[in-house]
This record gives sequence, C-alpha cells and structure tokens, in this order.
Amino acid sequence: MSEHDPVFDAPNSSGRLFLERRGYRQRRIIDAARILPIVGLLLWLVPLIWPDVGEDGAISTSQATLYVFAIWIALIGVGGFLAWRMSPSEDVSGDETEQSQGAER
Amino acid sequence: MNLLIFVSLGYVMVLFIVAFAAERAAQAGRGKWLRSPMIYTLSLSIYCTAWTFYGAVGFAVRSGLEFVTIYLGPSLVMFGWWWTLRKLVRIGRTQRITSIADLISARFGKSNLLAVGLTLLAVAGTTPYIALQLQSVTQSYAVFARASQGGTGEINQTVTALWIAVGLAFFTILFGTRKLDVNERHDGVVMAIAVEAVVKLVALLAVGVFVVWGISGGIAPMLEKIDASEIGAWEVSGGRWAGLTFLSAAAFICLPRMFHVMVVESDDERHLRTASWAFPAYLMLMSLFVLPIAVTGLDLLPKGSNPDMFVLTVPLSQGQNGLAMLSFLGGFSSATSMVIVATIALSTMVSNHIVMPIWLSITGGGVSVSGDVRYVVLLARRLSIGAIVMLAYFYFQLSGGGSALAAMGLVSFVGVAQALPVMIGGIFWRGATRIGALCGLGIGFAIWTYALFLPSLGNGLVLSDTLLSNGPWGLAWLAPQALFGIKGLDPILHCLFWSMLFNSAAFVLVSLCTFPAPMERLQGAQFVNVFQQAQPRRGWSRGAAQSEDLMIMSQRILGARDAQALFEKEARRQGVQGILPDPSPEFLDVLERKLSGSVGAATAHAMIGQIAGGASVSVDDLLAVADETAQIMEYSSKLEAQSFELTRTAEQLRHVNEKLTQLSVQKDGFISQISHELRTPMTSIRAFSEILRDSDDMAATDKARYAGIIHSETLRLTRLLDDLLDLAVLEAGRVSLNLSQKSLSEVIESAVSSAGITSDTDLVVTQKGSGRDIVLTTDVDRLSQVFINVISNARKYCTADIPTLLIKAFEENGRVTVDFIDNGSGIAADMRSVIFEKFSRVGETQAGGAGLGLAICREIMHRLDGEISYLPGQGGGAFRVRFPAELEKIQQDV
Repeated sequence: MSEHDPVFDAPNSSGRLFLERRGYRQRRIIDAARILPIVGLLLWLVPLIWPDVGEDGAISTSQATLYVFAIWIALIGVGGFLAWRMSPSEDVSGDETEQSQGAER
Repeated sequence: MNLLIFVSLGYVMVLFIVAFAAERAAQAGRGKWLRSPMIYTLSLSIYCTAWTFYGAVGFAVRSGLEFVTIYLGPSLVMFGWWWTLRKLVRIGRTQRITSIADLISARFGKSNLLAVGLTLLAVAGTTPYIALQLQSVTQSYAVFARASQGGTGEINQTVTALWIAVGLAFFTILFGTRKLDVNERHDGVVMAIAVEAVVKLVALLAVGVFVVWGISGGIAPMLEKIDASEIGAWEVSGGRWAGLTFLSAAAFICLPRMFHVMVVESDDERHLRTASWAFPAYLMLMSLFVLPIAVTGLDLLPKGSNPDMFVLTVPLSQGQNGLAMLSFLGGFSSATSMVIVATIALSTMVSNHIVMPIWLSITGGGVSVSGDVRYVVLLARRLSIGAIVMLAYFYFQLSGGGSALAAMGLVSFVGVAQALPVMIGGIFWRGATRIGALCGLGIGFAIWTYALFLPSLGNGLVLSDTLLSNGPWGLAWLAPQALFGIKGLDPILHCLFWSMLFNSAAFVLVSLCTFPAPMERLQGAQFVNVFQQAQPRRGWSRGAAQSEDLMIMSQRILGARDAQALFEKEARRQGVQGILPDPSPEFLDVLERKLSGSVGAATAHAMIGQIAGGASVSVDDLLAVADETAQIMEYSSKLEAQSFELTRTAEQLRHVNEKLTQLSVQKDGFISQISHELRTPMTSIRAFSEILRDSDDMAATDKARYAGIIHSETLRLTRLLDDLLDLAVLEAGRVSLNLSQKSLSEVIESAVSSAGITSDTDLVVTQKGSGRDIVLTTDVDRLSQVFINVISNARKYCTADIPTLLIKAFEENGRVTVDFIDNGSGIAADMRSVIFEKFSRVGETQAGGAGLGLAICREIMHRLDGEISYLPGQGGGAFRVRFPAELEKIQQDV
C-alpha cells in the first residue's frame, strides 16, 4: 500500500515508539483485511478450472461442497480474527490511504 | 388449516409486541442494546428472503451447487468491507443519505432527474421481488392446506395473497412511517427483522439437522447420497459460476432494502467490522443444509413435486408437522422482513424523489407558507407503501405465480445491479459526471428491460414470439436474448454482460467527455474524499435567505419543537441573541443536511433554494470561495511573515541593548581611563616643573633630564588630545580629504615602515595578492593611517611565539580589499562587536593607547566610502579593509 511507514516517521522518544509500533501493526491488519476478499475470490474461482463431468478426475458434488465450505469457514475465521484485532480507532489510520484518490483527475 | 392461520397470526402478534417494546425502549433511552453489532448483522439478513429460504433448494435441485454463488458474492462484499462498505456507510452518515437514489442524486449535484430515474429502476426491480415473496408465502400456505385436508381442499390463492399483502402493508405503515427523519433508526422494525432473522435461521437449520441426522443417518451417508443423486457430479458452467457470484455481490450493495439496512439504518460504523465476519457466517449457515434438503427431497418425494417447496414438503412427508410448521414460519419471516424493509426503502425514495418535488412545484413558492408538511411526507410514504405492495400483488396476479422463484429473483438482481457502476464510480472517481451517470443508467436500464425483464414475463405477453426469436423488424442481431448474434447464452448472463458493459462504458465515456457543474464538483469532492473531512462544505452563498422563512419551512418538516431547538442551537453557536440565527452559508448547510434526512437531498436542496434564492452555487460563488481561501492563506502567510519580522526585530533590539549596555560600561571605563591618561602626564609634568622651579642648585644633566620628561609627557598629552580631536572631526564629518595617486604597494610599504616594522623587529610581514600594483586615487595619508593602526595593533597584540602578519590585497569591481591576518589568538567573539567603538580596548592592560585607534580607522574608512571589519575564522586576528580604488570627487564634497 502506498501509505508511509509510521515507525520511521515517529519522533525518537521511547513512549512514542511503542504507540507507533502498535500503529504499524494496525496498518498491517488493515492490509490483511483488504487482501482477504481478493484471496477469497481467487479461491472460489478455482472451480472454474475443475474438469468437466466424464473427464479424468471429475469432481463430485460432495467434494465441491466441502471445498467451498472449508474456504468459507476459513475466511470467516480470519475475518473474525482481524475484526477482533483491529483497534476501535482504526479510522485515523485509514485516512491518508484515501488521499491517493483525492486528486481531481 | 385453522391452526396454521392461528400460528401465523400469533407470530405476527409476537412481532408487533417485539417492535413496540423496542420502540418504547428506544424512546425511553434504554435502547442501547438495540444498537449492538449483532442486531446490525441480523438486520442484514433480509438479504435472505423467501426466495433464499425456499428457492435455494429449488435452485440446487435444478443446478446443483451453483445455488451457493448467491451467497458467495455477498460474503465477498462483506469480507471486503474496508474497500467499499466502510466508505458508503461514512458517506451515508455524513451526508444524511436516505436511500440509494438519494446517494446517487446527491453525489451528482443533487440531481432530481437521476433520483427519479433510480427510483423507477428500484421500483421496477423490486416489485417482482415482492411479488415473489407473496407467491412463496401463498404457495407454502397452499402446501399446508393440501397436506392437512388430504390433498383435496384447494385454497383460493388470490385471496390468500391479498390478505398477506394487506397485512404486510399495515405492519410496514405502522412501524416504518412513525418517524420522519430516516436517520433516526426504525428501532421497532430493525428489532423485528432481527427476530425474524433468528427464526428463519433456526427453522432452516432444524430442517437440515432433521434431514441429515434424522433421515440420512449422519454426515458421511449424506455425502454419499449427494454424490449418488442426479446432481452428484460437478456440472456447473464457469460463466454462470463467476457471473452469478458477481451479480449477487453487485445486488447486495445496490438492492434498495440492503442499502437501507446497511447504510441508512446504520448507527455506528464499527458495527460493520463485526458484520464483516458474522454476516458471512450467517450466510454460510443458511446455505449449509440446502444441498442435503434438495437431495433428500429428490429421493423421498414423487417426481414432479415442486422443488421450491422441499423445505416444507420433506418434513410433512415424514409426518413431522411441528417441524414443518417451524419451517413455514421461517419462510413466512423471510418474506415479511424483506417486504417490510423493501417497501420502507422504496416508499422513502418515492416520497422524497417523486411526490415531494411534484408537490413542491404544484404549491409553487409555497415553501414558506406555514402549516405542517410532515403530514404530506408521511402520507406520501404511507400511500407509496400501499401502492408498492399492491403493485406487487398485481404483478403476482399477472404473472400467475407460474415461473420458478429463483429465475425471478435473478431478473430482479440484474435490474438493481445497473446502479453499481454509477455508485462505485461516484464514490471513487471525482471525474464522474451527472450526464455520464444518466447515460450509463439509461442504457443499462433499457437493455435490462428489453433483454431480460420483458422476456421474463413470459412468451407472447409483451414481446411476441417472432420478435423474441427473430428480433424487431427482422433484425436478428437485435433479438432480445441474442444481442449481436451471440446465441445460446444463458439469458441472465447474456443480459448481465451486455447491460453492464454498455452501462459502464457509457458512464465512463460520457463522464470523460462532459464537464461537471459546480455543484457536482463540490459534491464529488465531498464524496470521494469523505475520509479527509478537510474541506468545509460550502453549498450556499450568503444571499437573500430570511431566517424567518427558513424557520417557517423547517417547522413544517421537522416539527415546531425540533426546528426551534435546531435554530436556537445554531443561534447560540453564532452568538446571536434570540432564536433566529444569521442565515449564514454554514447554517444553511446544517439546515439542508438536517432536512435531507427527512425528505432527501434533492428535495431539501430545492426547498432551501426556493428561500435562499435560485441556484445555490454558481461558478462565481465557487470562485469567491476559492478567493476567500486564497485570501485566508495570504493573510496567514502575511501573519507568519510579520511574526518572523517581529522575531527578527526583537533579536536586533536585544543585540542593540547588549551593545548599549557594553558601551555604557565602556564609557564609564573610558572616563576613568581618560582621566587617568590625562592625569598621569599632568602629574609628572607638575611634579618635575615644581622641582625645576624650587631647586636652584641642580645639575645641568638632571635639569635636562627633567625637562626631557616634561617634554615627552606633553607630547603624549598632545597625541591623546590630537586623537580625540581627530575622532571628533571625523565623526562630525568635517574632515577634508586630500586626494592623491599612489600605488597600493607603496602605501602598504610606507605604512609598514611607519609602524616601526623593520627586518629586526619581531613581526614578520608577508605580502600576497594581485591587487598590490593597483594605483589608488584616494586620501592616501588617511588610508595609510588606517594601515599603520592595524599593523601596529598586530604588533602590539599578536601573542604568537613567532608573530607573523599576512597582508593580502585584491581588487574586485573597482573595490580594493586588503586583509591583515596575524597568527595570534584573535579577538574573542563577545568583543568583536565593540572593538570599533570609541574607548574600547581589548584586554585591560597591555601597551598604551586610549582605545581610539580602531574607532578612528572606522571613521576614516567611512569617509573614504569604504569599511573596516573584523574577519573571523582566519586562525588569528584578522581585519578586512575595503574601499574604492578611485574615490569619486563628489564624495569629498559631501
């Protein structure tokens, strides 16, 4: 992502460093939250390359079901984890990520 | 049969009680738990309608696992909440958006035309969907009726559907139109929806558990059964898999009812975070048992049974009447919650974007006439709710309840998804324009109507069979379901592809070619940069708006008490006495936003426009705003410069003050010094002259010695007085210069020898520099006086073991620079500022001098139009003398 790195922008006071390190962690959690739907989409598009009926290695509906639901549960788990770790004031950090879109083009 | 009616009524009663209790709690301020993230998540579940509850199983029977795409799309949207939903919710809250039509109209300059178009699109897209709900409830009712009466009694579907429609309209009107400000949540409705969400989930899970563990005997046998069934092989077409996932994702954002619960009823942005995983979990549970139920239904029920009703018929066939009843309630709640929210959302749109503008234009300039408009708005909403439900009822009658549920749902989805490009473009791209949006939506809507909606009504109903197969006027490439000659495509995919392609292309291309109006640009910046919050929203220019008129108008929409409270608050904020605030642009913005919460952005804008006078923003206004900003920036930079100037002046003053203090100390020192200097020779002169006068018998040598002492002391006195006189003359500017010509090296040579420097003395003088050959035209005697002074200073004060003095001379632009650099310890920094002052002496003792030498030098150099300064950083004491090579004649006359 295009935002600057808060750790290196922070003044060199030790109290700040702790806070900024948390801020850094928050940013990476937000990055993960951004990537999550893309990962989900890619995994759920995998059925497109499955062989058709009658071909070698055709997939049965039960296997397909297990695949789709396993991904679903994994995504819910990761999403829940990220939502849990996200700090209540996450909007502060979200601000400047929007600035790249701010200019009138 | 009677039991079923009794249970349904009882269930509705429970909902009424829940809704009432929630409203009551919210009013009493005990409604905090009503706004928890879980309630928000559950309210999103109106995505799962009766179509999902019953239709998903039918979908699965027809196409296998493909049904799951309808849930995958929304799940992905929720997982990706950080991208889109977060921004939508923030915009909805800051701009007080009341519906999806309001959002798009507000984004594109509060255009009412766009709002009307979107409202029509939403009504056209949602009505079949509501009809679908009526149909599914009616069908499920019929299933029960048949079962309980041994398959003989056929209920009157028309009457049943009518009763259901009336009941739903009643419930919606009762709870959905109690309050006007949509931004105050409908707590009762939301709570009822949350309860229904739980009911339908529990019902579907119960049937699923019964099917898997009660009938099939566990998970593994169930999986085997699935593979053995007719939908046991993976036969999903890739196009439909991807296309339907995209479609359901698009519809999830664009469906008016989803937008309503997700954005309009949203109380707290943080709820989204919980919903981002909890809602996909809900969807996952809702679809978990769909396939088992479908397979079991295929297995147990006779061929030709309606697969859409498997959720009911499977438990019924096993004699599980209680479970069937629960499942019926689940379907019933799915249908009712969807209809309630959809009609609230649609009626808001209809009343804000169609009824109110018409009413406003009919009553002319009557906005400021007193009288409560709220009843007009509420009445408009109530009537629209009734009208929409009835429209759906007629649609249900017209279509005869024949087509499969899922197909109708998808048709609806494609319709509302037409708003997606404009919405996404609007919140992420500032270049999107109103005309572009209109073109995109228009083309998308047209293609949807022609290629999907009309054909879906059934062959020959609106479009004839020949037109469907051969295209209009025999143009085969215009055939509704085979545009551009591409045949054999799934109708849904076909329409989705072409409508989305042309919709987005028209939107983007026209946006690129057109120029947005000022209002659009303002709004565009507001929407796209909603997270920056930096620029103030300035929609109104200070104009003719009268506070009293505004007050009259606001009272009619907000109610007297709320309006007065708002005005009073603003007046207090502005510091105005009384209740009427100044009609400043800021106040108009606040008021407009408040009003738009009640009647929508476009209407609120138009109403204030009537009072404030004409279009609110012109290019001139924009320029004025820009000017104002520029002025403020200029002013602040001026302030900055001024404060810098002040700091500098203060610094200078501090320096001057320091100098003055030092000077005063030096002056005191000088007075005692000069007294001492004068007194010492005077004392010896007096003493020796007294000796000469009083002693008669004195050796001639002594006499001569004493007279010599007296003579040298008088010489010293004379020199001191000469110096003082010289300085006084120089300072008063009364000196006359004798210009003559001499080369610089000669001047330096004579100065060196005059200063008593010979090859024997301890100071080694070296000369360097190109400027020594230059011929000077100046007062050579005065100049060499300066040189002598500087050189003898070096001789006196240089503390090095082997003192050396380097004299460097060079010329530049007619000005000669001569540097005298010794290798001593130099002059301390704190003394440098005072060495050129009169009376100053470096160090306390050291050899003679009254501290006038450098002061005289400075005055001389000043007369010669040059300067003498201390040159720091040369490794020793260093003086720089600069003066013009040819002193102009005029100079001396001054």
